[in-house]
Amino acid sequence: MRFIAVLIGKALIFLVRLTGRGGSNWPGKVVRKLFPGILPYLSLKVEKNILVTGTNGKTTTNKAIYSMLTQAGFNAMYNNTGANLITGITTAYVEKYGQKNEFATLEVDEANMVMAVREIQPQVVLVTNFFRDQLDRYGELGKTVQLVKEGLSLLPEGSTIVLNADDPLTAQLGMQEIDKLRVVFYGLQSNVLRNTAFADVSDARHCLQCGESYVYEKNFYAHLGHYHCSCGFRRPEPTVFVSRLEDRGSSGFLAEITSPQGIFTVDIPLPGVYNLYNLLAAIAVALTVDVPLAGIKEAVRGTGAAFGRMERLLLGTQDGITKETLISLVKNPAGFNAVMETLLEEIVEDQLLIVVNDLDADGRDISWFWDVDFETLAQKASNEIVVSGLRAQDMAVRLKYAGIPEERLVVVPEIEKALDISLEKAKSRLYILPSYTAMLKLQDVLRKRGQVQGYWKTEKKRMRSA
Amino acid sequence: MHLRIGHLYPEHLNLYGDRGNVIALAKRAEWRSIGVMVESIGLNEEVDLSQYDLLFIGGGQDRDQTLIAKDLKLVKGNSLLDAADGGVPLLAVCGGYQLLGKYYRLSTGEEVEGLGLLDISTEAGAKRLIGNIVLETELTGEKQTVVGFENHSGRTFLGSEVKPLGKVLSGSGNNGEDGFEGSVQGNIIGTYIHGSLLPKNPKITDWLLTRALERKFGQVQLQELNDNLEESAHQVMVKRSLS
Ligand SMILES: [Zn+2]
Repeated sequence: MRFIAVLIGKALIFLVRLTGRGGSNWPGKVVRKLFPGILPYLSLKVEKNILVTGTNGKTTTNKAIYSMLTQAGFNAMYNNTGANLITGITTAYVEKYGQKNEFATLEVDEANMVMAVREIQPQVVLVTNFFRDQLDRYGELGKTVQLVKEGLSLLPEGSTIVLNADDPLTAQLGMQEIDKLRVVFYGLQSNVLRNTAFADVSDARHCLQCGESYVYEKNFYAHLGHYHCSCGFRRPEPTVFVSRLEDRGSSGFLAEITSPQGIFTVDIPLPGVYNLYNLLAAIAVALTVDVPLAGIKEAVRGTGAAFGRMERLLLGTQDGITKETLISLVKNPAGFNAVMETLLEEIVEDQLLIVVNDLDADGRDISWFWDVDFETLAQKASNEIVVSGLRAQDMAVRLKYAGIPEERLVVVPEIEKALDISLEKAKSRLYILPSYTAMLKLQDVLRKRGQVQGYWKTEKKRMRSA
Repeated sequence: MHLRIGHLYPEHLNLYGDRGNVIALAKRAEWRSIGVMVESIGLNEEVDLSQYDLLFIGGGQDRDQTLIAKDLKLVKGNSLLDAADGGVPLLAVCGGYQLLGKYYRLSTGEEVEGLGLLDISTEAGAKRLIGNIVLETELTGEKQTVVGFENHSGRTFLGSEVKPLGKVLSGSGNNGEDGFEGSVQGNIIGTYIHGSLLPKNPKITDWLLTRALERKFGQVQLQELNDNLEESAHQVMVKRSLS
């Protein structure tokens, strides 16, 4: 019966691929209906299962863990399409059934953590951070944290949880009675970075224990940093941390990592403090499952961005002139601020295109535009800005109220047209900041033009070369 | 001319981008060369709220909401009642809206006493009312639409002293039953609408500014602004929701 369920699942996955659509949830959904015990069964076939959850950076971090594992010579699988609901995760296990995997590393949507932990019983769980995200889906941030906490309480004895020490919301998960679990904290040493310039209206700046505002000795980005509260709650000391850092702007970082396994240097090719955190989180997980340093270093050096996560492409205008294009997904105020902080100097020199939709996967409520610090962008920007997507007009209004004159706002709701207009306007570089479904649409357009491959094609190629 | 705007509890009640409302008020005053000072008023701060020309209060998470309810009652209650008596225009959104009412009845049956500034009461509902919303209002004297996004589990019922802000054309509104949304009592507007509310509904912004200026300077005529962008963002949502 289980075998039949897997076969049916595999056939469905094949059908989905054949039609060229990236939908990876419904094969898992069908299989789960046919055989509800399928995920516990399949995950038990893998020696060690790792779950990655948190608001921002799941995809990049999970991919990095996977490549550290494979670089070190382990057989591993991951849910590489960003399908992080329980159904998508089931699809991933069904698809990889038959391979002898030592590791599975899976990004899990926060709201699916309870189910995922219950069914997979992982050896390691990484929680990256909590930000406001798609609030209309979850209600409130506090509930999201609660869901993850509930998930962690279902972990089998002896599991390890890896937590971001610099995010108070995440760190507190490791500071209560969890004697049956091992806790590993990671973070940045306070002198490695300056304070952020972007204003933050995060709701995580108040102590969960007592409600007082945290005091920040250092604030790296959003509510992440070195904090303490008058009630005694304070940032835990991490055992895996960045102890020295060379910031190389848009080409990334050179980071010295201090860990119980030793002090070593990694070359991180992705820009942005949030990517530094992503890679550090992946390193902390890899060290936890005894990946040798050589594999970790090699994997970090080869880290590529997932599509739309600070990915650089060369795109041509209709006249065939090539412009360098950088695409970076933006889905919440903290992420948006972080991307702008990293790229601000470059963005204001050339062309910016913001594309925002309000479909389910984007979050239907676009109120968060008003929590992004566009005022800092407005102070420095002097070029036109193109806005597109289902909520192009709303973004234009936001930018107008941030201080960008109406004459410099170009509203083009239709995404493909906005891309072409922006490419025309760009001197040599175009920066595209899309919401999730806007990013998928862009990917679609570029694939049709032969400028990027479909997700499935890239995946097959990787499998063959592995 | 100069306006002093008080933003109540911005550190705690800042869910769903409601600071956009304060930005809209300040910008639309500045664009008309009216000086604006926005001041944050936090927990435990004892201030004379009647000295402000305009007040705003947003919504927050449950835990913060309880903190604020206490502060409103023990620290700012009388001051806020004075301000309201003196006709200071006040916009309250979502949680702030509920806190101004007579009480909030939790799902346990327990009643949390509100400030009683608005003749409304709220009860916890089982299902959150979430989605785009369009109203028809006559706040400014002529019929017009209001657009935004609602996300609340509370069901609010109006007493005889308040009027609804508008009739729901699409969405749920105060309680999802009677077809109305928001409350207006004197110069106070309470509503569940985020979006943020004011940027895309500039007529409401201007109504609040006019009330504030009139109270301070007597009869005023606000200078017309170019609202093409705001209007097109507004119309996109009207069309989408009503078609
Ligand atoms: Zn505290």
